[in-house]
Amino acid sequence: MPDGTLNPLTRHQPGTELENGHTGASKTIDFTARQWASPLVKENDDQHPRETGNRVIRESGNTVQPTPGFSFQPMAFVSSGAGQPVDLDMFLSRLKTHMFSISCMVFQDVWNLDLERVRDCCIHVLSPDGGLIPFCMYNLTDARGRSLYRKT
Amino acid sequence: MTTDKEHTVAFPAHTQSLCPYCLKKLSATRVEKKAGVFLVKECPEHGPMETIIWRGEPDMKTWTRGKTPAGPEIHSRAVEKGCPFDCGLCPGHRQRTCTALLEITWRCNLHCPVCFADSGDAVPDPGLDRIRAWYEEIRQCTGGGCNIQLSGGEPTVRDDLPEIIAMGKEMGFGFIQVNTNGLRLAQEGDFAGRLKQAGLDSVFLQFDGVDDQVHLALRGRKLQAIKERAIANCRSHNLGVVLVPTLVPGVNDHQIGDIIRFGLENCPQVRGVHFQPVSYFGRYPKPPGDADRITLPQVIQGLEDQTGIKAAHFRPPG
Ligand code: SF4
Repeated sequence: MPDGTLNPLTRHQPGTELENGHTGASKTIDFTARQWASPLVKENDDQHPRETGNRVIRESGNTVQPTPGFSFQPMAFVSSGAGQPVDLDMFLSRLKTHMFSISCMVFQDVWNLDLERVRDCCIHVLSPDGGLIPFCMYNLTDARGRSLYRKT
Repeated sequence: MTTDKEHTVAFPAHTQSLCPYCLKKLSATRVEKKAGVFLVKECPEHGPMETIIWRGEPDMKTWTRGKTPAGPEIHSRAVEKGCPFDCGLCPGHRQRTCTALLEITWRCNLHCPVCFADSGDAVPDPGLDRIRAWYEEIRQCTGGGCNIQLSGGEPTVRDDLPEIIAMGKEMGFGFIQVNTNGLRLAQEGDFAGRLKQAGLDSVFLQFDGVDDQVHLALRGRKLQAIKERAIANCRSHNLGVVLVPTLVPGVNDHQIGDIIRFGLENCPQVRGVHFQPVSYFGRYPKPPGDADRITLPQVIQGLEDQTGIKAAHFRPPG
């Protein structure tokens, strides 16, 4: 980062116990809605958008961006104010406003399509003819551009 | 894995795919080779083919989080022909809807070489009644607890976009996001304000790089100043923005770090960066080669190399 060190607090540990898929899905929906919406900043809190203090990477709980293909969930950063020591109050208040997520999603196409993974997709396009179609399936075409589902 | 010997990988190696030429369902195997993990399949009619799906660290075998299936409770389709021919969703599906996407127009004000959405003017936009019925269907199928993304085409070409957003909010959807190239947000100073007033929560902004060279290569047009103006207008109206780069090998994969830094400089208005490696829909003269693809671990590696964020801190979706 231009201005400070990154202090990661958690890591991915494969092979831990089975998580509840329903809870995961709800957390995904809630996290996306919270993190990607407008920051809860007051006018005067937004005067210093270019911080030069420390940045702290903070795992924000079970933060998930779901997958039609392969993806990773957002990780979140909290950036602190310019030149100020990071105290707990400030950290918590900036956690609300200055969290930053990084995520990735690899869409599947007809070449790399893995049907085992498609069944776990939770981004669905509403077909004009009715029904919710997994995003990658809705956009999938054969090599000549003919669609599996899309009509137009 | 650095041995030359090919072998099928230990985690469930077997899966299924489709033939790119006749869409016949084929059995497929994930095979680990020196260059990475490949999806290998063979069509009785069109022959064998393989595509890179995973290159480098972290190991693909570790990239899972065990979870119980959490399919939708309401199914619009029965299992008849087998996946993926029963979409709608069918009872075989293992995840409920997190984000429902509505394509509210086919028109677009930018005609990009990499775009997979249609952008013809031939198809008329669905009217407000139709869109109301769509929202209603989503509410019925999902119980309403999902996020909405308005997409296209380019949704901002519709003058009634604020009404469409307000309608969704009135119908009880908690989070509505618009997927946009940002042209109109940049050009009309108060457009962001009208969307915000209508209840828009977030702007999913196409943002492929931090200089015009990348925009020219991908979209055929200088867009950097436009993107920055769009973000500034969102800031004036306190609309959250997510930067969404389409990553194409050799075009902008060297700007992963710059895009993150740009996002952080514009935090908190910019809420995050959501990378989408290029995928291949539509008509192509020849099959995309392995060099035309960026796999997930390469994005993680790019982040590590270009920002210093350690790869170990990214997690698979739950
Ligand atoms: S809804 Fe899901 S499980 Fe059913 S056919 Fe479509 S992708 Fe397969």
